[in-house]
Amino acid sequence: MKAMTLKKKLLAAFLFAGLVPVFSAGAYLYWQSSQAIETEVFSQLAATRTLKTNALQNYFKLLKNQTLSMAHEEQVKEAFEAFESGFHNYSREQRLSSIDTTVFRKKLEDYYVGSYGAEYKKQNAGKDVDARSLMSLSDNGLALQYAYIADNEQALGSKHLLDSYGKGKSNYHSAHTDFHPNMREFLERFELYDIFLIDGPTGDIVYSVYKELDFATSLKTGPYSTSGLARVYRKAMELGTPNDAVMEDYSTYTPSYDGPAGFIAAPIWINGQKRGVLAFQISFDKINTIALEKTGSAKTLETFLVGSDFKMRSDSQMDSTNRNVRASFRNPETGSIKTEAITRAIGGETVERVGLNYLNTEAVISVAPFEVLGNRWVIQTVINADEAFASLSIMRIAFGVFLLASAVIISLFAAWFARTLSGALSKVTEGLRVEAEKVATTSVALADLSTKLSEATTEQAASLQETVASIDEISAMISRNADSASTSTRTSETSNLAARKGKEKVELMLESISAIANGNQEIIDQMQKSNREISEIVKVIEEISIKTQVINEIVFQTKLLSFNASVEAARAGEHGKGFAVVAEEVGNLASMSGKAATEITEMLGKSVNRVTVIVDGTKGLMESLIRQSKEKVEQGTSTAHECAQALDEILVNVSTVNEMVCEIATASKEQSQGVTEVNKAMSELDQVTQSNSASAMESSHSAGELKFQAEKLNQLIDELRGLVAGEVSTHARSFDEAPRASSTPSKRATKSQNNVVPFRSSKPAVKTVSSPAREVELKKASGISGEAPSANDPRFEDV
Amino acid sequence: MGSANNHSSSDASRFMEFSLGGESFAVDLLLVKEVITPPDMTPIPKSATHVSGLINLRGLVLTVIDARKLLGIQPEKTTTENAVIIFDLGERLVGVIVDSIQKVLHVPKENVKPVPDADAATPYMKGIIQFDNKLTMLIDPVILLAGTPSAKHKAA
Repeated sequence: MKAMTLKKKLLAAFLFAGLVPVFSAGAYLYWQSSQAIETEVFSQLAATRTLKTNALQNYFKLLKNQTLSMAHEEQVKEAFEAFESGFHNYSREQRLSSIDTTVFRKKLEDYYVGSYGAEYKKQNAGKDVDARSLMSLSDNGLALQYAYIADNEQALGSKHLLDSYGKGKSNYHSAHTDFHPNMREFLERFELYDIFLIDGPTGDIVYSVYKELDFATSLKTGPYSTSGLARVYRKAMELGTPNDAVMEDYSTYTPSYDGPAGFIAAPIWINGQKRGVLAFQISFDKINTIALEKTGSAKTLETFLVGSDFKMRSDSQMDSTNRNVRASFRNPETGSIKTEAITRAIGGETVERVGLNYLNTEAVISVAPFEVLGNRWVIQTVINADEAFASLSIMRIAFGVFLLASAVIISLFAAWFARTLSGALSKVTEGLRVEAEKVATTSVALADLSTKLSEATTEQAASLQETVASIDEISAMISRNADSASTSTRTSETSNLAARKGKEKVELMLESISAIANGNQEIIDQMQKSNREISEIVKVIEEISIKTQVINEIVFQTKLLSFNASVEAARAGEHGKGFAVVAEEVGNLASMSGKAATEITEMLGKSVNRVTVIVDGTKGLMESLIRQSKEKVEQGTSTAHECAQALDEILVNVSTVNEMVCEIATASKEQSQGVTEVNKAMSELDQVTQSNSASAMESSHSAGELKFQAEKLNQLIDELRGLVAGEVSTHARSFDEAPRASSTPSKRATKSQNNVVPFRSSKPAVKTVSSPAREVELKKASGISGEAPSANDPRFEDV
Repeated sequence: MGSANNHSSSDASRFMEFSLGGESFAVDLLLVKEVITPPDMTPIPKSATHVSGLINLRGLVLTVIDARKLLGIQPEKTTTENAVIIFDLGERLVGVIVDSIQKVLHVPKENVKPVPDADAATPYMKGIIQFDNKLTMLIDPVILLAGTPSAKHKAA
C-alpha cells in the first residue's frame, strides 16, 4: 500500500466506491426480478394445468354419462336382447355342419394370418404374432366371425361399414341390419373407438361396431379373457347399482394390434336383472387433442398426461416420436416418463419446481395427480427454463454490460482525476521545494545584510550631526522670511486703498457719460417733435391751397355769370347799358380775385417747398451730429469699463498677494516649530541608531534559525512527494549528507546541495556583523556628536 | 379802365374775347346766346372729328363743335377754365368749345380794322381788333360754322 502511487490508490478507491453500490443494487434487483418471474411462470403453469384438468374431467364425466345413458336406452336393451338371442341360436338356426365349420375356420385362419398378421407386423416393427392361438372360438363365434370379418367385403379397418350380411337368414343378421346403423352413427358422433355388447353370464361379445378380432369371443374363456376389456366386463358385472360405470386404464390390447386401449363400461339392466355389459373403447385421440391444445404463445410450454405406470396418456410435444401414447406402450423403456416429480405426483403430491425435465433439460415443471374414474393419472405442464427466464438472461447480460461500462468510465475518470490531482500536488511540492531553497538563500543574504546594516548605522550617526548644523541655519532664514512678509503686508494694504479710490472715480465718470447719453436722446426727441409740428404747418398750407382752388372755381363761375350778364345786357340794347357796365365790373372783379387766388397758390407752393428743404436739411445734419456724439459716448463708456475692470483685477491681485504673504508668515512660524521638532527627532534618531546595531546582531541569529527551518521544510516536502508519487525519496537527508545526495541523479538534489554550501560559509559572517555595531557603541561613548561632517560634503551646497 | 371806355365812345361795339391755343379770338357779342361750363356730351358715331357731340341745354338739343380741331390749332392742356359758347345763328344754336373766355371787349368801331390783304386771309376772318396794344382776330361764327354738318344739313 505504501508503495502504491496516488493514482493507483485513487483508482482503487473510485472503483470500490462506484462499483460496490452498482453491483449490490443490480444483484438485489436481479434476485427480486427472478423471484417475481418465477412466481409468474409457476402461476401461469398452474393455470394452464388447471384449465386442462377441468377440460379432461369434463370429457371423462361426459364419457361416463354417455355410457350410462346408452346402457339405459330402451333401444340398446332391445338390441342387446336381439343380439344375445341371435348369437346363441346362430349355429342352430343356420344348421351348420362340421364341414362348414372347417371351411369357416380355414377362411378365418387366412384372415388372421394374412390381413391381421400383416397389419400387426407393420404396427409392431416387424414383430410376428401367433395368430392361430387367437382362434379359440365357440361355434357361434366362429360362424359369426367368418360372416362379419372374413366374409366381409369391406377392407381391414372398415368392417363396420357392413350393415347387413346377405348370405342366409338369421335372427342375428336381421337384428344387425336393424340396429347396426344407429350404433355406428352413435360411435361416429361421439368419437369412440368401439362399442361392445357383452352377454353377462357367458362373457360373449355379442356385438361390436368395428368387428375386430374380439368380436364374438368370450371374455370368460376366449383368448382375451385377461385383456382390459375382460377386466372392465368383470368390474361392470360386479356393480350393484344401475347408475354406476367403471373404467379400465390403458393397457395393450391384442385385437388393436397390441396398441393401448382403455375401456369404460356399465351393466345393462333389463327387468331388474343384470343381463349384460355395454362397453366403450375410449379414443385417446380426443384426450390428446385436449391435452395438446395450445394455450398462449410460449413455444416450449406443453401439457401431457402420464398414467400410474409412467406411460404416456397423451402425446408429449417435445419428444413426440418416443413419447406418444402408442409408442409409450410398445416401448416402455423409451416411451415412459419416470422423473422424480411425476413419481411424487403419482404418490398424490402436487409438485412445482425448477428442475430437469424428461429430456434432461432445465425446465419449470408443474405436475399434479388427476383421478380418472378410479384411475390415477398425473398431468404435467412444463416449460423450458430458457424460454421462461429469457427476460432474466437479457437482464443478466445488460447488467454485466452496465457493470463493465461503469467500471471503464470510473477507471477513466479516476485516472484523469488522479493525474490532475497528482499533477497539481507535484507542482505544489515542487513549488514548496523551490521556495524552501529560496528561504535558505535568503537566510544567507540576511546575514550579509546584517553586516551591512551595522556599517550603515555608523554612517547614519555621522550624518545626524551634519543635519543638526544645517537645521540651525534653516531656523535663521525662517525668521528673516517672517520679517519680509510683514513688510509686504503693509505695502499691499496701501496698494489696495489706492485701487479702491481709482475705482470710485471711474464709477463717477461712468455716471457722467450716461448723463450725456441721456441729453443726446432728449435732443433727438425734441428734434422729432419740432419736425412733426412743421409737417403739420405744411398740412395747413396744403389745406389753404385746396381752399384757394375752391375760390378759383367760384371766380370762374362768377366770370361766366358776368359774361352771360354782358350778353344779356347787349341784347337789351340801350336799356341794358348800365347793366352791361355792372356785368363788366363784376367780370373784372372776378378776374382780379382769380389773379389774387393764383398768386396765393403760388406763394403757398413756394413756402411749402422752402419748409420741406429746411426740415430735411436740419434733420440730416442733426442725425449725423447725434450719431457722432453717440459713438463718442460709447467709446467713453467702454474705456471707463475697461478702466474699472483693470482696477478690479488690481484689487484681486493685491488681496491675493496679501493672502500669500500671510501664508508665508504662517508657514514660517510652522517651519520654526518644525525645526524644533526636527531637533528633538534628531536626538531620538541617535538613540534609534544605537538600538539598530543591536537588532542587526539579532537578525544574524535569526538567519541561522531560518536555515534550520528550511531544512525541516525540505524533509516535509520529501514526505509529501513520496505520498504523491509513491516513491521513497532521500532528498530529506541531502542537507546534512551532501555526498549521498549528490549520488542521486535528481536535479533537485544537486540544487539543494548548492544551497548548503553558502550556508555553512555564512556562519563566520554573522560574527563580523557584530563588530561594526560595537564600533558604533564605542564611538557614542567617546562623544560622536563632536565629529563634524567633512567640509566638502555635497549636502552643504544645498544649504 | 373799362369805365373810361364806356364813357369815351358811345359808338363802341361789344365783343367776346376767348383764347384758343394761347391765341386770342373774338366774336360779336350779339351772336352769343350764352356761355356754360362744358356739360356731359353724347358723342355722335361716325361724325367728323371736330364734332364733339350733342348736349341738352334746358330741353334743346344742340351740336357742340371743338373749335381747336376745327381751326387746326394745337390745344392748350385742359384747364378748369374750358367753356362752351352757345352761338345763336338765327335759325339754330351751336355750341363751340374754347380754351377759356377772356372777357367782354368794349371797343370803339375804329379799333376794328379790316383784315389786311394778305395771303393768309380766310373767309371767316371778319377783321382784327386793336385794343390795348394787342391784336385780336375777329371771327364770323356764321361763316366758320357754315361748313359744319348741321349747317350743310340745313342747306340741303
